[in-house]
Amino acid sequence: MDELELLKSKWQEGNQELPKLSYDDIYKMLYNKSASIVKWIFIISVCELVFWIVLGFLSPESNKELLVQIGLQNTLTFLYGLHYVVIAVFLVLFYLNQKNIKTTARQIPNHTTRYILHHH
Amino acid sequence: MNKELEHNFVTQLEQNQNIVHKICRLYTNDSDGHNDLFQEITIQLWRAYPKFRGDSKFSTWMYRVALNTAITLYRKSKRRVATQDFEGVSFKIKADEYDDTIEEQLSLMYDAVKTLNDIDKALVFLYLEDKNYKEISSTLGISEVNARVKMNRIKGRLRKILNP
Repeated sequence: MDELELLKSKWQEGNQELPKLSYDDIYKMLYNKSASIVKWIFIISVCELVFWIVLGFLSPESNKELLVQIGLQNTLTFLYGLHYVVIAVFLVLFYLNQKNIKTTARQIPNHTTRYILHHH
Repeated sequence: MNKELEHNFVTQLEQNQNIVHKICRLYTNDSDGHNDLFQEITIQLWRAYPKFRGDSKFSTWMYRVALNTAITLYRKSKRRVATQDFEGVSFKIKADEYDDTIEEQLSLMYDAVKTLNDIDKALVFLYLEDKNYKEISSTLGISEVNARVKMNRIKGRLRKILNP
């Protein structure tokens, strides 16, 4: 297999043009995972908000009266309750999320100082 | 302590990043794919790092985790397999058009390696990295005999691709 041996010898010479990432580039990659979590929670919360706002617009006042007349008062109360639960969950998620960002943000400046110490 | 771990890890990965780049190049076909795979391998390496006790060299351990990541990811993506097939076709056209210079032979061989399946590719990669069969077998978790047999079959397959 001459061609494979040829490739191997060229491979060993290391003359492939490869990208070169810096210390900081690689460091950032360690925290990219949390960035994607932040992104998803943000998208989900926007969807939640949009859902409830659109629902509010779609139901006129007469509709509400009608619902009460046909005895859906309890269902209505339940839905309002659900509404508050969703907002509460949203707030909790947002809080946890924000804590996550704060940890990441605190680590980066610390690392930058150490990077300067080690490399200069 | 955690900071120390982080610093050691990033420093060692920075020094050995060529290994990961070479794997990315072999398993993907464009720079987006390359960067995605690099990112994924970095995360997998970082997750596994606390378990790395230094029994083996950092680079040896890296070969194992990085190749496993590439193989797993490659398996999940059927789209990439389709791209590989397409590359194989385009290289055959090229073979008819050009004379066999060394440069050309090299790129044909490289393209042929790229058409191999995920595991075979890992084997050839380690072979090109001048690893002996003992190292290859322990990195990929197969027996030494199995590694030799597989490598011989791959050589046969490559010969067939280059001289249809």
